Amino acid sequence: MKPLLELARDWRVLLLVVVAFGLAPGVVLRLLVRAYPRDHPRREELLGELYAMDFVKRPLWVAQQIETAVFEGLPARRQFGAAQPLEEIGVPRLIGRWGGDASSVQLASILSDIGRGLPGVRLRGAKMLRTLVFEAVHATHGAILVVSPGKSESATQCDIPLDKSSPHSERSLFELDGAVLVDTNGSCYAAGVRLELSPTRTELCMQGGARQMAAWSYLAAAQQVTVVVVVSADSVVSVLSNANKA
Amino acid sequence: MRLTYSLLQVALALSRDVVGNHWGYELSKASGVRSGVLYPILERMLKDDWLTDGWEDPPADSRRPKRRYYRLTDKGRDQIGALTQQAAVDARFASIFWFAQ
Repeated sequence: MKPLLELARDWRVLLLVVVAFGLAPGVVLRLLVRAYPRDHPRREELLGELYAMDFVKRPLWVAQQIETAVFEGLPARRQFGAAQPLEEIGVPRLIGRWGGDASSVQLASILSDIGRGLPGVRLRGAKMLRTLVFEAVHATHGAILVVSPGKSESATQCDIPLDKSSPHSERSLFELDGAVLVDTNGSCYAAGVRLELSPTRTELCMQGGARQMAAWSYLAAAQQVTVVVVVSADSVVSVLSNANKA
Repeated sequence: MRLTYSLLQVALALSRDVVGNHWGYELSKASGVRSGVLYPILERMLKDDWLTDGWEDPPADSRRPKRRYYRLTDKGRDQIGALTQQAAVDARFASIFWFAQ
């Protein structure tokens, strides 16, 4: 008993207790609710419940929410990432344009633009995407890289469908004439895809080369939130997105 | 909706006040069902139109976030009545009714 009393006199122990039982439940719960997609009502609901209950019950209740976050929040997030609702899709727009040398700073900026162009979607394959963007930027005659959360319908038109066992290296993907299609895990599922130019949609971009026109046209017709990275023959990189909140 | 022990406990907790608002934490306490199981059940009930939901008007003197409430619909009241009757003759759920007496 005596050591316990001595501990209580120590200000650091007292501070730890105050943080753990006073501040931590709210902080921990705020971290846990991040398992849910951004607009999920459970995020606010759990916080509302926390501050309405007795102070002493909060730590235990927050601990119980780990299960809620893991078994309800994470599946909801996965589902959200797999299928973006249509209302998230907007008019295609330019997110960023980069030129000159393909330094690591520029690569990071392009990846950041890709992330901005896919709001609410987690880029699980960021490392692979970085490699693909690097190869696209270094492609001799320019390139088109299409990134979307799920497999695009255009994959049915692809000239060379790929799977994980394909012997094609990342560099060889961009040697093919056509776009490279990847998902947000960084998995390439098609290369050499001809992006069809829709005559009714070319008014979206009256300037720019054939790649730019094809990218704008593709984005306008896409059924999910998509980012297209266009690399011109003179190494100018344009990042385009059709996301509403980009 | 498949009749389970947890679903029945939540249904019984809801049926204690068929016209009022229910809160997640209060339901968890009343039913004895932990949050990780309760919230998916409430979500299914919302989807099947057994419940409606909304956000409370917080008291003027309080700065806490709004709570979400759940309220039984007419369909929900009927379904919960049917569910309780079905469970009452099912031996698996005898203990719930025995403790409730």
